Amino acid sequence: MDLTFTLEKDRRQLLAVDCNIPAQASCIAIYGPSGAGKSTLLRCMAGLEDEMQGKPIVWGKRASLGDNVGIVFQDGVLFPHLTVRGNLSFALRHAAIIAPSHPLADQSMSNLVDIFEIELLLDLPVNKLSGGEAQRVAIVRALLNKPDILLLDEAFSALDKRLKRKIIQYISSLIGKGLRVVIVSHALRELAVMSDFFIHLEQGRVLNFGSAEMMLPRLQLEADTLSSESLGEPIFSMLTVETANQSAEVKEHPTIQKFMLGKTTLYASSHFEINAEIKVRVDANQIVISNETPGDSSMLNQLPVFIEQVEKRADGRCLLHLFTRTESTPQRLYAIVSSLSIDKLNLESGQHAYASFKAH
Amino acid sequence: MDVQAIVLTLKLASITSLVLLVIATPLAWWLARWRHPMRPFVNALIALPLVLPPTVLGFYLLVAFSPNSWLGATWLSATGSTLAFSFIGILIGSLIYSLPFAVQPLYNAFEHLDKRYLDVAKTFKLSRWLTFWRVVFPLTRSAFMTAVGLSFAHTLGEFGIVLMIGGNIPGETRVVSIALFDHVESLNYSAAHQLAFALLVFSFVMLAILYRLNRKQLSSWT
Repeated sequence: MDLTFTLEKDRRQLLAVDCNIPAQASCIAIYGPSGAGKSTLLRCMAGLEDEMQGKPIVWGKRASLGDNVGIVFQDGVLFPHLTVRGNLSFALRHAAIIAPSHPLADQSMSNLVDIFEIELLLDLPVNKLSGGEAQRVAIVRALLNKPDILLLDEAFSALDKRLKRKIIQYISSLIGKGLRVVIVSHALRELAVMSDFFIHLEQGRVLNFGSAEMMLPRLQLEADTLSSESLGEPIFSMLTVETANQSAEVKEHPTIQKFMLGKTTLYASSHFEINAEIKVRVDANQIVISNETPGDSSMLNQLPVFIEQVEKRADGRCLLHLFTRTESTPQRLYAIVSSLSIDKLNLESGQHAYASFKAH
Repeated sequence: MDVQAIVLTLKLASITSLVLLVIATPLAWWLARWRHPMRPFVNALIALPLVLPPTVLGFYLLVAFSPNSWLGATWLSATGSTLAFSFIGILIGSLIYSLPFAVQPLYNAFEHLDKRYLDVAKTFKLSRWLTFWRVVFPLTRSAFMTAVGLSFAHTLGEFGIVLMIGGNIPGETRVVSIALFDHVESLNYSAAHQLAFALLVFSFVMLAILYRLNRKQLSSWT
C-alpha cells in the first residue's frame, strides 16, 4: 500500500494510491496529523479524486462513485444560497433509490431532524449556523442521500460532548445495520469508538494500516510519546473474547452480557449472539491494578495479568504494558496508574498482578 | 436626439452580452479547470483586447472581413454582402473586444469556487447540467451579473473598433459613440452634450446597480 504526493505550487496533487481495504471492515479510520493527506485519501476512496493514478480498492471494489456516497466536511459545506430546510430538501430530491433492507430505509427526514436536534434550525439561512449546527445539518443532508458509504471528514470536531456521543452512537448503530463508514479525524477517541480498520498517514504517506486491534495500541503509544498535546488521550486495549451462554445471574440484568476470555468471565453492556468471537475495547485509564485477586468488588471484570514493562510518562503517571494470564493465548493490555500506586504496590516488570475494570 | 443610434447601440450591447454569456461560460469553466502549460497563453490571448488599442484589433478585423480574405470571401458568397461596414461585422468586433470582460469575472468565480460543493453534487449523482444550474450558477450568480453588466457597458462605450470596421452608416453601424464623434466634428456641441450626458448617466446608473446587486448577494452569504 502506498500513497504519495508531489507538491504543485501550493496545491497538493495526489499522484498514486494503492491500497486494499478488506471487505469485512465496516468502519475505516484515517488517522494522522494536519496536512498528512487524510482528506485527499478520503476523496480517493470515494472516487472523488480525478487526478490520481491508480485507484484504491475499497471493500473489494475499485473506488468510484458507482456506490451511493454521502460526504460530510468539517465545516459542513452546506449550500449558502439555500436555507437549512433547502439543503435537506435538495438531498431528498436527489436521494438514491434504495432497497428496503438498506440501513437508512426507515429513516425519514423528520426522524433524522429529531435525532440530530435541528428542528429549530430548519428555516435559518446556513450562514447563521454555528460550527456544530452546520456539522449536524451536513450529516443529516448526507444521510438523506441514503448512502451505502458515509464519508466523515472531521465531521464531529465542533460538536459538544453530549451531541457527539449521541451522534456517534447513532452512526455506530447504522454501521451495525450495514452502513459502511470512512472517518477522518485526528482525535483517536472518536476513531476508537467506531472503527475496525485503521490507516495511519503522515506527510502524504501511509505509515501503517491494519485492524483496530493491531493498530490502536500502537497509535495511542505513538500519540502519547510523540505529542505532548495528546497527553490525556485514552489508550485502549483490544481483547478478543467469546460470548457465553447467559447464566441465571445475568439473565435478570438484560443490559449486561457475559463473555469468556479463556476460563475467565467478563461482563459488558452489549447484545451479541452467543458463541461469537468479538473484540472488547478496554480504556487504560479505567483499569485498577492489584497484587492479589480483588475478590468481592463492584469491579466485576478481574483478569490475572503479567507485567511486561512499567513505563514512566511525561505526565508523571506510569503506563503498564501487560499480558493476560488466562488459559487462552496471552493478549496485550495497557493500564495507566499513578507513580504513587507503583511505589505502594511495588509493581515492577516480570511480576504477576490483577487488572480490574468496570462492566461498561 | 439620435434615437436611431441609441436603439442600435442598445441592440448591439444586448446581443453582445447575451452571446458572450453563452461563449464565456464554458470557456471560463474550461480555463479554470484546465491544468496545462498552455493555459497562460490562452489566458493572454483572451485578455489581449484589454491592452491593445482598439484600432489594432479593428485593423486586423478589417483585413479579415475584406473580400480578399478567406472569411470575408466566404461571407460574401454566402450572404451577398460584406462583413465590413455591416451590423454583423461590428457585432463580431464587439464580441472579440468585450470577451475578456465576460470571461474574467466568470473565470475568477469558477477558480475560487470551493471544489467541495462539486464533491457534494457528485455524491448526489447530479448530471453536469444540473450541477451547473443547481450548484454552480447560484453560487457564482454575482459573477454572471458582473460579466453581463461589464460586457454591456463596455460595448456601449465602444468607439475605435466600430469606426474601423463599421464606419458611420445610420441604422447599421452608427452607434452612440460614433454619432457623438460626428456631432463634435460638425461642431454641433448641443447634440454632442445631450448624447454624452445620456451615455454618462446610463453607464453610471448601470454600474451602480451592478455593484449594489453584487454587494447584496455577497453580504447575504457572509
